[in-house]
Order: sequence, then C-alpha cells, then structure tokens
Amino acid sequence: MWRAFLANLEKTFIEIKRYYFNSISGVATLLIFFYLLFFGVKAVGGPSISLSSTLDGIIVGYFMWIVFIFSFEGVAWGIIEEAQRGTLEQVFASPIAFEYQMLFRMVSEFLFNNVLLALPLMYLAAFTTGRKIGFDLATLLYLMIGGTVSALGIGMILGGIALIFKRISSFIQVVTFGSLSFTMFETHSLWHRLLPMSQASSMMKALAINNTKFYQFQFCDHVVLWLVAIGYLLIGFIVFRVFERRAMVVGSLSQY
Amino acid sequence: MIEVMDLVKLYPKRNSKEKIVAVDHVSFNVKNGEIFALLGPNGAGKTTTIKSICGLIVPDSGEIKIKGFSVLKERSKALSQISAVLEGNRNLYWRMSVLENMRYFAGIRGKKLNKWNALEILENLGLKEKANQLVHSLSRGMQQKAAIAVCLACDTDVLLLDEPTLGLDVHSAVEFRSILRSLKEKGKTILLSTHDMNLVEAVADRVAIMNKGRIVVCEEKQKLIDVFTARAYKIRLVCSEESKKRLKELGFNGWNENGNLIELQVNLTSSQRLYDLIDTFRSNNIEIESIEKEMVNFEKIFISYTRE
Repeated sequence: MWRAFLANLEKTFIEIKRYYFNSISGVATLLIFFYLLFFGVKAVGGPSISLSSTLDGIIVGYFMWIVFIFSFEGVAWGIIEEAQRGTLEQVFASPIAFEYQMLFRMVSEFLFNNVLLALPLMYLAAFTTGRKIGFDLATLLYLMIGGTVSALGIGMILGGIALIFKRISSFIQVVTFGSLSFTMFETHSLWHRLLPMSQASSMMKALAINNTKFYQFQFCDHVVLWLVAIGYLLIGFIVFRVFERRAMVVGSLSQY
Repeated sequence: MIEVMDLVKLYPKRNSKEKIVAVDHVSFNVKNGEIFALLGPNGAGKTTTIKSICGLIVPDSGEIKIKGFSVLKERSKALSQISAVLEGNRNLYWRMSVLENMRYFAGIRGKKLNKWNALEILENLGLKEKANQLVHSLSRGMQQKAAIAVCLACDTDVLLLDEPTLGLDVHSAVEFRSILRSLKEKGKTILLSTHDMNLVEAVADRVAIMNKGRIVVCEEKQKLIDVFTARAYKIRLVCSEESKKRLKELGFNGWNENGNLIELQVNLTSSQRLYDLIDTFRSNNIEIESIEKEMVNFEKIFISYTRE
C-alpha cells in the first residue's frame, strides 16, 4: 500500500512538472477569476458599507472553493483522461483495488495542489488585494484536511459516474459552480452545514476573521466537520463501488 | 497456471432486452512455462476472455483461477500473479519516460523496482538507451517493447498480452517474436490473444481458436499443423464442362481454372480418406492429372476453423 501511495505521489509530481503550461495557466485562471470576484464585490458594495469582513470572507471562501474543486475534479477528470488514454484498465488490473489508487492520487493531489499551490495562492491573493492574513497554520491545515475529505467523497461519486457515462464534463461544471454555494456563503442552518465543505468553510472564515484556533471551536463544530467528511467519503466509496461493478458487468471500463 | 472453466459473458444489446453472447462456455487451461495463443476473428470473444482473466470484466458464470486463486473470489491474490499488456501501446503514460512508467506500474502493484533491475530488463529488450525517453517520442515498436518492459517490471510469472503485435512493422514483429521466445526460456508463462498467424506459428506451444464466443479447437500447435498437413491436398483435374457441373453437384467450388484444367484445394475431414475422394472422381468420369500434398500454414488452419 505504501509503495502504491509513493508511486501515485511521484506520478502526480511528474505530471504537474511535465504539463507545466497547464499547471501555470490553471493558476493564472484561478487568480484572474478571484480578482474579478473580489473587485466585482468591491464595486457593487461601494464605499458605503463596511467590507472588511466580507472581503476576508471572500478570500477564504474562494480559497476553500479552489481546494474543493481541486479535490473532486482531480478524480473525475483523472478517470476520464485515463479512459481516453487507455491506461485506466492497466491501473484497474492492479491487485491493489482501484478505489485505493484513486484515494492515493487524491491525497497526492491534495499535497501538491492544495498545500503547495492553493495555500500560497491564497496569501498571494490577499497580498495583492491589500488584505492581511494572519492564520494559525495548524488550524488551517486541520480545516483543509477536514474539508478535503468530504470533497474526496464527491470526487469518488463523480469518478464512479464517469466510469459509466464517460463524458460528464458538463455535469462536473454544474457541480463546480454549484459548490460555490457550499463554500462562499454563510452557514445558517444544520442542513447547510451538512453540505460538503460547508462546515469546513464556515470554520475557516472564523479562523480568517477572528483568528479562532482549532481548539477554540465548539465540540459540536468538530463533530459536524468530521461526520460530514467521513460521511461523504463513505458515500463516495459505496457509490464508486456500485458504478465500478456496473462498468465491469457491462464491460465499459475502457470505453470512451 | 491459468484455468478458465465454463466462462460465459453476455452483454446487453443496445435499446433491447436481448443479450449478445460474447463468450459462450469457454474452458481452457494454460500450463506452466508455455506460450498459449488465443486466436480468433474480430468479435470472437478473445479480448473479453483476456479481460475477464485480468478481473476487468465480471463474467455471467464460470470460474477463472490463476495459480489456484479465483479471480472472482480472491481478486487481489489472483491479480498479483499476473501482469498484462492491454490495449496495445495505449496502456502507457505517454508523457512519462519508460523508466517512470515501469516504476509507476510496479509501484501501484506494491512492488519496488530497483533501478538496476529496471535497466537489466530494458537492456534485454534493447531499450536501455531509451530508458529516460518519453513514451510518446518512441516508435510504435519501441512503445510495444516498453509495454512489455512495464509488464516485466511487475515481476510476475504469468504475462497476458492482448494483440501485442498490432500495428508493428515486419522488423519489429520479428524482433517481438524473439523477445517472446526468450521470455519463455526464462520460465515465463504467456497467454497471448492475437490475429497474427505468423506470431502464433513462430512462438505458440498451444493454440485455442475462438469463433463466435466459443472455442472451436484447443490443441498443441504442432499437432494442428500435422493434422492439417496430412489432410490438405492440391488436386489437378482434367474437366469438361459436363464434369465441372458434376463437381459443383458434388459440393466442390472455388477452384482455379486454366482451360480444361482445374486445380482444387481439398481439406479432408476426419472421416474422409484420400482414396474415397479418388473413387468419387473416378465414378464421375473426372480425370485426375496430379495429386500433391499441400504445405499448410496457420492461416489456412485458422480459416478452416472459423469459416462460416
């Protein structure tokens, strides 16, 4: 298992390095989109309202959204790409189950995309817009992990759907933009908090605005965070297994 | 080594409740250290059979065992005994080097690939100089070799090769045959599915010919060739128009004609004997000019088993 994880970690790194143009343009797109959002809110709000907390919330919310989409899109696009390339079956033929391979990839992508890319990106976004982020890094990572686990569950669901339907790019876009509502807006009700990433995002805003440390959150906040995270991951695993089985029965693993 | 027992696979027909029979009660076994070829026309069920062995397709019924482990019930143990080259040269990451691919595919099977072992494999395949080259920059033949290298990096006794010579030029195909022979000498068991009769003729120990989802013959290659050589004849007949009509009535067709000279290619069935045939011609007043035993290649054997 450990070797399989290392192999996937190395592959993720190699692909980021080799497809560097794609990696750089991805970062540029995210930054441009952020500026459009940030300055759009500033222009609409005007000087009459106090934007301080709203703007910090936007930075954090947007950053969480990036973490979210990086996490779930990676799996779904990965499966689509592998089916197109023809490597999907080769990975499936490994004695270590494909779900684990996917999980290892997602963790690898979390490390490269979220920790090494999204995190500096957030600081860059804050710096270039004149905001100051003084986060407790341990709390930040804790919340990122908690949030990402639920996103991975969504990724597994999308990955399973991709195994059967193959072309799901439009659906991924719907989930991508739909997920803005989980991460960018305030969580008012328990139902909202049960949405993937929503609780993590809400706690992240408390961290950004009030510099709340992870031990300062209420116990029930932690419970909801991890229940949601593990719940979505489990649902993701189950749904993926069901779709994987279906693809194996109809023989559509490698079709695209 | 590999036992396939009464394998059945049905696929749902599009927009219909009917099912297509892809594999129909197929049974065979691959012995330790042999090269076993699965031969058949397009749609015969070869790839479905290979993919079922690799655990990529769930069969409707039947059992597959690899070194005694059931692919359906002990998937992980069974799959750790085999490595496969599927989808020709598309099964590699084209933007990764040969060495990176080897390391990755060994890694996802939980195996550590020592760099020296990897280079030794590549050297044996004549690919050492290409170790750090990206797969997309290699020729088709080299890519195919790289796929074999990845397979060998997984360090299993059994190799499954699906259409390994597809798209290879003559030189690469010849080289590929010698690679397979040397792998067999090293004790590897190889199951290959192919259309390539030359490959089968050159390397296979045993052959199963599939047609319409069924195995129509499963025999040692040499025995098949011997049986066909013993039964295949080229008979030259001197025929009038009347005799030609008579021949057609007797069920002969598709001969070569040169004036009143006719050249018939005859494959005797197991119940027929040559002198019965001679009697038939004689009793119908068809003059025999010559009879030659025909040299048989595998293509002819294949066609005779898979003909409609």
